[in-house]
Amino acid sequence: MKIIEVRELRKIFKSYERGEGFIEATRSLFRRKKRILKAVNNVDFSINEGEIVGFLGPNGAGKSTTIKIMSGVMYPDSGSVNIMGYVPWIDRKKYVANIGVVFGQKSQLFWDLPPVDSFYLHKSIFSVEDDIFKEELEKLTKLLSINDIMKKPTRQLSLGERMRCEFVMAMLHKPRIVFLDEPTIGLDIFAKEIIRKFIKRTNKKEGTTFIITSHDLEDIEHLCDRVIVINEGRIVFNDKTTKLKSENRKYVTIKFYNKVNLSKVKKIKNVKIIKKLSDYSLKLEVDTSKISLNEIISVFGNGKKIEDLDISNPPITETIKKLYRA
Amino acid sequence: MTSSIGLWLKSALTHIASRMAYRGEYFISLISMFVLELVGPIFTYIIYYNSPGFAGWTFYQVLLLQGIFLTVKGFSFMSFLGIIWNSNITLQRGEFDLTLIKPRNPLFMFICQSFDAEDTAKFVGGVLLSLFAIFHIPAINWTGLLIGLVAMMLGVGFFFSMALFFSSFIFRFIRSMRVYDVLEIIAMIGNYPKSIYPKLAGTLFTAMLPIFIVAAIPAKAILGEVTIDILISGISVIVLVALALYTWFSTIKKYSSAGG
Repeated sequence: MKIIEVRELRKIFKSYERGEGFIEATRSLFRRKKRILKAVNNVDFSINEGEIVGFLGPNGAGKSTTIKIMSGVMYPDSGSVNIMGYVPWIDRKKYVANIGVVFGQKSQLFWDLPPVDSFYLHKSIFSVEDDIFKEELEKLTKLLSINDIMKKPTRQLSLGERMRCEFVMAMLHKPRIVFLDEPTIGLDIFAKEIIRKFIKRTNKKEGTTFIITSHDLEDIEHLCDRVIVINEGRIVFNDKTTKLKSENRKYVTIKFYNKVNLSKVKKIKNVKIIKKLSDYSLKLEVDTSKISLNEIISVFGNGKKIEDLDISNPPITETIKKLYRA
Repeated sequence: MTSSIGLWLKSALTHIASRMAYRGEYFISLISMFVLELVGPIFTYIIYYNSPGFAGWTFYQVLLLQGIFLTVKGFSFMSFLGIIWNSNITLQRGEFDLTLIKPRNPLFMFICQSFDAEDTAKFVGGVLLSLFAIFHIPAINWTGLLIGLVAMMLGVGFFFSMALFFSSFIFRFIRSMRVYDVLEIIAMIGNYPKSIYPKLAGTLFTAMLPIFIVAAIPAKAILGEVTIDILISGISVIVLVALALYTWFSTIKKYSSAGG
């Protein structure tokens, strides 16, 4: 069942440019060069209930603007958004009661108070019933292991501990959809793991829909069923995460006992040298739709002894980079 | 459903608790705020006894006026004028997003988030000064006191409209630190009786920018002198508040957040 439907969404920002230095700064007081930026340009997509969708894009691509419009923070210039039957910026009050938001770089916790005080204030703001609040707080405390830390002032917590508490804030009112804007930014591998496990578990057990923006592609690989890539305000990819792992390309690393003749390798069609690792070893990219791995092995193995062979999928970063550059 | 008043109180207590985290700084701030605000009445005392004073006002009547001024200003600063300062901070960092993701009226939430714990000293000082003056003024009647209280509420309304106008201005022109100074200058006008100003200024500050509703008009009412000024200023305040609310809500529709 579709829970989010976005159609022909547009948002334009005006900004002003000026050159460098004091003279340019003075000149800009009287005359400024206006620049129109199409942050979101005719974006269409939909998301089903219970999905975990990754929202990717380079800096300034329009992903955060789209998320902000979807979370009711910003008005679009045109287009329609229907989330759980609400238009976020029109039905904002009713709508935000059903969503949770975690901004990796903006805290909802009181800096000088223990997180538990912020949780209780959140309960009042969202009018969460006493028994539901108690039950949720108990469950989230266990899942995110914050029992020992939620009574310390927030300022004394590590980034990982604070982020776990931010997740509690976002989940206490049992939202159906959670928007996560760079939730693992700056976290160590252990903190990332706790948060990823928590997202997976909440999605599976409670059917919560998650929309995640992140520059950490490991987050996307670990968590997301589907990825939407946005670049210069337009969607350039909207498909299953596995599709990012290009099905028709493989990385083949070969190590020979003898020196490699590069000019010979260059003549092989549908094989590209990625890197010469040593005189004896090469890393190749192979188009497997045109040449099979068996053929590769027989071509290279012909008259030469292969000492080691490694076949892997190109990392999704490669595909993402191509999408960003497109 | 937690009522708005309940939430405001809870939010105010949370802010006070947050400020109390730094005990030393909290006490110093409270005391310095209290002492600073006492400068006004002391200054009045010096002027009153070393000059012809204020025409038509006894010393305790002037103290009452300044007590009312401090009460209204203190309550306004404590309760909602913090939105001006908060607008500057939250807009620069794009943190107004956090207000908009709460299922409450954004202005109400913004007011809750802007509670200023230190200004409780200003408010309490104002109430004490007013009571001190009232006990030294004979023949104060209940009707006058009631009308005076209504006028004080209208004074709070005047500051509320100023808070919204200045906050909207900051939303539009991000990083306008001088607006607090402008507000202080406007507020200072209300610290003295209408009689000391030229006639044109008196009319302007009664009908157009009704700063006299903050102290001069309520003080006169408490002293038993209810004039048409209260009606003129009252209407002006209502118009200003309506206009300010419209401006604020129209402005936040254009909020563009910050960062990517």
